[in-house]
Amino acid sequence: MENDYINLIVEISVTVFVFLLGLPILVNQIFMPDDLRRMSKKNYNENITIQICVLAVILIAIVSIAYIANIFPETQWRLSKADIITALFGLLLFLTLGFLFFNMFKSQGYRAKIIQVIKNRILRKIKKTEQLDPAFFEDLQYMGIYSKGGAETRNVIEALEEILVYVMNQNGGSFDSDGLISIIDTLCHAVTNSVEPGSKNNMIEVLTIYKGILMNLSNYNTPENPVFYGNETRKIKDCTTKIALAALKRDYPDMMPLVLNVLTLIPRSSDKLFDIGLLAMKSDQFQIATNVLAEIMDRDNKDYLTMNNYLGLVAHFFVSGESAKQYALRSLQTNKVELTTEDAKSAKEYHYIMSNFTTVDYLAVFFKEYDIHLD
Amino acid sequence: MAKVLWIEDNADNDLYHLTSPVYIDGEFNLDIATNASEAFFYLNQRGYDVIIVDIRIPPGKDPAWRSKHETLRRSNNVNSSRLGLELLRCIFDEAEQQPTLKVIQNLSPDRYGVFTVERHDELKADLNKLKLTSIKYRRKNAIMPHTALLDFIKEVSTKNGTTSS
Repeated sequence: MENDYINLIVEISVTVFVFLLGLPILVNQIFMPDDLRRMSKKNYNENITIQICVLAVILIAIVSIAYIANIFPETQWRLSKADIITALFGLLLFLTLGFLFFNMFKSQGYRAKIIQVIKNRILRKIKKTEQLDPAFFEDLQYMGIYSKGGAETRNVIEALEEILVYVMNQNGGSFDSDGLISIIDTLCHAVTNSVEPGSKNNMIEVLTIYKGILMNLSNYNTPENPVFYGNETRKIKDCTTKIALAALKRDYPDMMPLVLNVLTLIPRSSDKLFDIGLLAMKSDQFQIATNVLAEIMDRDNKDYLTMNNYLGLVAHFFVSGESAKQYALRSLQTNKVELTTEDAKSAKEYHYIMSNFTTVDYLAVFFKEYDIHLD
Repeated sequence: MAKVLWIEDNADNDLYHLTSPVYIDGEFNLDIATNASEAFFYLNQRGYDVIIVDIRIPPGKDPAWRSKHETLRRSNNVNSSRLGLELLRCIFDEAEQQPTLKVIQNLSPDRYGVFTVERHDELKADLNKLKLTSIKYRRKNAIMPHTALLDFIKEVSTKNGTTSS
């Protein structure tokens, strides 16, 4: 009679376990975004795994007791076998429901929570080893690119900003260059390569962070260690240009003053300003193009590169209608540019080497009208 | 070319159109700071002929400015949202200066102009305390012309002798 009861409980327990096992897995699917579950390099589901293991151990205990009770029915136990089985069954049921509801509540805002989990682990690792763990970082980058909409990308940006503070202040007076470059790159990818339409606010936020990094780098800059001219600054220059081009394609022209502001903090950025100015002109955004032309030449260091890019953009203005031509002439006047044959030759050669063939042709038209002969 | 710093949090969106006439004019190098941290950085980094200050600006990323903002906010100080005024205080009020928020150049009041939505009488007492009684002031509003910023920059630069009128 007791064995019949025990066998019944075993059957029910197996059913409960098999049925309820599906639910944590379902919760797991809800908790972990599908894309990240497939792509993640680290395991963010240890808790769920532990919970399933606990339930499996209780089930094995129930089955084992039933097995022993059936093989050795005469064996006397200190406690009644039926009582032990009933207690274990109650525990199994209680824990299964507990884990289920716990995970269901936890699954609210799951993507934001996953970002927090990744961020906390990265910070823990930095504090321990003073280095960014690339695997965690790639997962965060993946979350940024495949985020669903602007608010989610914002979460990734905020997490990266928090990590940035630690990366910039390691050992009390230095910064982790590789880590910093990874952060700059990830911020850029999150707002320019996102599968969802890019949010203007996020782009502005990233540019503001870049500006903050540049300000910090200038504090670290010394004649012996000119970090401001290092790879981090070059990376910011490239990323800012990518963001600017993405913004122009998405018709966010009002971001351009900030873009220009970031680029003008960076030495030798006239090539990037030229690219932005050119794209602006191609999309008839003359207001931006004029801003760019003004910014290329208004810095203190006017080297040959600046002059070449300035003249290249002036040439594009020159062939874009009478008003644009007048503006180009006025710009030459206000910038006190007295064109020499050497300047003209250098500009043509530079743009030819850069394969800017249209610019080379326009420069020829411009120089001809300016009565400069290069032959 | 005269160097201009415009401290304005909306320069990269709502007030973007005001920058274009400045660029087109070709007489001024324009830098933009969108919060107190950036303004502080630019003021200590470069010398400017004209500095146009908005009164309502956010603190930005600098921990010192964040902490200042937080302290003002917790004490329900009206200046918690008027960090432009706090910035002027850091520049012109020696008693108020903290070592971490000390501006070391651009200290001539003639170079400054206030371009804000706040009414002049709301700011007058604070500006007087800072001995900025003759500081140029212009109010931002919805019907200001596109050249409002350029005109104001010219007004301040004429006053301090950077350019002739």
